[in-house]
Amino acid sequence: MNRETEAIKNLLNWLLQEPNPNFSKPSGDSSQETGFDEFGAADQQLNDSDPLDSEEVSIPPSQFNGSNPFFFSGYPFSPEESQLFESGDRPAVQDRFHALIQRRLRAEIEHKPPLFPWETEVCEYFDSATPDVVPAYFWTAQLQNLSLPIPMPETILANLLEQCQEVVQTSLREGAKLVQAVESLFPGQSNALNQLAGLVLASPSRSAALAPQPSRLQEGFPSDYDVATPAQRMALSLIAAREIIESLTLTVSPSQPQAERQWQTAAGTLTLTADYQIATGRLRVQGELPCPGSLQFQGADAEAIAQRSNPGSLSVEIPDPELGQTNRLEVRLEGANLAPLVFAIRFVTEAE
Amino acid sequence: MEAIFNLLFDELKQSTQASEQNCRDVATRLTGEVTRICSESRRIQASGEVETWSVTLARHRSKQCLKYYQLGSQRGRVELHSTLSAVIYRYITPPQVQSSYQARLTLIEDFLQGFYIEALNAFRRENQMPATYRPRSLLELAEYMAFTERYGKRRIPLPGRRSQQLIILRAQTFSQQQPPETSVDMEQAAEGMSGENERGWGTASVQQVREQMVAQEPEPAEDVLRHAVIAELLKYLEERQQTDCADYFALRLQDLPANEIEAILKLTPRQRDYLQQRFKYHLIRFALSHHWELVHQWLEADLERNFGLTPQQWQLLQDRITPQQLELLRLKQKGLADGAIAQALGCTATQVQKQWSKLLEQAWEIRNNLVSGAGASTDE
Repeated sequence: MNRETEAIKNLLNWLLQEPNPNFSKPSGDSSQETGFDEFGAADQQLNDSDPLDSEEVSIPPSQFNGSNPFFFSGYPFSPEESQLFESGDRPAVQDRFHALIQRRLRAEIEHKPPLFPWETEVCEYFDSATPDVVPAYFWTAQLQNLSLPIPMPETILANLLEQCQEVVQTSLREGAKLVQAVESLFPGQSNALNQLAGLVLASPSRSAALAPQPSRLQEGFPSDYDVATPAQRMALSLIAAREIIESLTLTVSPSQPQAERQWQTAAGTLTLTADYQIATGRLRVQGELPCPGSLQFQGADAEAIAQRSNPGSLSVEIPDPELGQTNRLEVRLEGANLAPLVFAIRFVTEAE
Repeated sequence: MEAIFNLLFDELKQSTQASEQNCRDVATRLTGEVTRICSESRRIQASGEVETWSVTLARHRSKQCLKYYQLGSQRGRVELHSTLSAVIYRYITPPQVQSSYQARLTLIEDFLQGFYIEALNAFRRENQMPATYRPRSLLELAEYMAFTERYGKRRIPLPGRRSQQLIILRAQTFSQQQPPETSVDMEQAAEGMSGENERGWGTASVQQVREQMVAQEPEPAEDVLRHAVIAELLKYLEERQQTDCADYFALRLQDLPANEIEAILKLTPRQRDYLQQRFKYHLIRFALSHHWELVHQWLEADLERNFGLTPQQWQLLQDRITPQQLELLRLKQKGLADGAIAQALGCTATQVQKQWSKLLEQAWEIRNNLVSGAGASTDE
C-alpha cells in the first residue's frame, strides 16, 4: 500500500521547496523600506539601478516581436541566454498561478470595480475630455456669456436656467413666461414682477442688440448684485430670464425656415440648427455635439431619438409639425450624470 | 527623439478616436519616458543601439496603452486590478491566524487603493504634470492604467544582486504594518501545512525532508532541474487534460493552506481531497513512467548510477525482478530505444514501458527503505 508514497512525498516536497523563488524580504532592512506612501527609499534604489531593469521587454530590439515579454535581468542577451532567463526568472508555474488568481478574482472585481483616486463612482470615459465640473454647472457655462447689466451669482442663474427650461415649453405669452421663470426667487412679488416684466420687454433684447452697449436699463444699477435693491434684483433676474429663454428657443416659420443657436457647455460649444423643410413638410434639428450624447425631439404625435458615442453631428426630425406648436428638444450630453438641457423648437405662422 | 514622437503619435492617432491634441499630449509624455530610460541606461548607451531600443520601448508602451484603451474604462480597470491582485496575492498576509481567500481580498482591496494614489502621484511627478492632474479622456485613462501596471512591475534592486517588483515590496511593507498577529501567522501557516499533511501526505518524515531540503544550500543547477521538472509536470498534466490538477499544483507551489486552495478553486474540502488524490496519482505516473529520467536525475538515481542504489540494494533489485525485467534492465543499460527493446523482447513498446515502470517502482521502494531510515532487511 505504502510502496511508492515515500518516494513520491520526497519528490513532491522537493518540488514544493522554497515555494516562491521570487519571495524575498527586503533583506531584513525593513527600516529602509518603511512608509507605504513614502517614495524615497524605493526611488533612491531605482536611481542607483539601470532603468532598463524595470522593463518587461528585454529581447534585443532587433529580435523583439512584441509577443513574448518577460522580465529583464541583465545585459541584453543573446536569444539563447534570454531563453535561459525566461525559464529561470518567470517559471511557467508562476504564470499559471497568476492566471489562475486573475481568473478567479475577475468575477468579483467585475462585480465591484475599483475606483481610481480622483473618482467617486465608476464612470465612462470618452474620447473628448470629460468636463471637470459638478453636473449642475455643466450647462451654466453659457450663462457667463449672457449680456447682463451687471454680473449675477451663478446659483441664481442656475436656478433661472432650470425654471426657464420649463416655461419655454408652455404656450404662455412672453411676459407671463418671464414672471413665471423668476417667481420662485421672489415669492409674493407678482405685481412688482409683472410691472417690471413690461419694462424689460419694452427695451430691445440685449443679445439682439449688435453691440453690448449699456442700454437705459443698465443705468442706475449698482456695480455689484449684492448691493442691489430688491427691485433691481427683480429686474436683473427678468433680464436674465429673457436672455435664457431666447437662447433656449428656436423659432422657424415657412418664410423663415431656419434658426440656429449656440450653447456653451463646460465641454465645448453645442450648436443646434432647426430647419423646416417646406418640400417635405418636415421639421428637422441638427446638433453639433461637443461630447457624446443624444437628441430627443418630441412633436405633437411623433418622436425621434438619435445618439452618438463621440463628439460630432446628429440630427432628428418629425413630420408635419403643427403650426403654433412648441416642440420639445432634449439634449443629453454624457459625462457626469447630467440632466438634459431642454430647448423649445417653435413652428409658427408668418404673422407671429 | 522626433522619430519616436512621430511613431507614437501616428499609432495613437490611427488606433484611437481621441482628439489630435490628446494624442499629441500622450505621445509627448511617452516619448519623454522612453528618452529618459534610454539616456539613463548605461546598458542601452553601451549597446550602441539606442535607436532600436527607443523604438522597442516606445512600441511596448503604445501597445500597453492601446490595450487599455480598447478595453475601455470598465473592463480596463478590471483587467488592471486583477493583474495587480494576482501579482501581490501571495504577499498580502492577513493578520488572522490562518490566511484565507476572503481576508486576502479585503486587504488587497485596501492596499491597491493606496497604490493607485501612489501611481497617480508618480505619474504626475515623472511627467512634470501639475499636482491636480487627473485623466479625463479615455486615452488619458488608458495611459494612466498602463503606467500603473508598468510602475508596479518595476524591478527594484535589492542587496545581493537580487531584485523585486516595486508593488511586491509595497505589499510586503503593507503586510508588515498589519497588526502584530501577522508574525504569528507565518508560523501558523507553516503548521497549517502539516495539518493538511495529516489528511493526505503523511507526517513527520515530510517535515524532516522539508527541513533537510531547506537546510541544503540551494544549488543553482538543482534549481534549474527543479524548474525543469515542474515545467514538465505542468506540461504533462495539461497534455492529459488535467487542468485542475495543474491548477492545484500551482497553488501548492505557493504554499497556500488547504482552506485557501479550496476557496480559490471553489471546492469543498472533500472535493479538494479528491483532487489531491488525483494529482498524486498523476504525479506518480509522471515520475515512474513518462519522465523518469528527469526525476531520477534529481534523485541522483539515473541508470548509470544504478538508480542510486547501494551494491547490496542493486543486487536485491535484480533478485526481485522477473527474468524479463532483468533483460529489460540490461537492454536499457545498453542504451537501446524502447522500440528496439520491444523487438528484442518480442513485445510491444507499451508493454516495455509498463514493465519499466514496475521495475522503477521496485527500485524506488528499495531505495526508500533506506532513505526513510527503515532498514531494508526489516521489511524482508
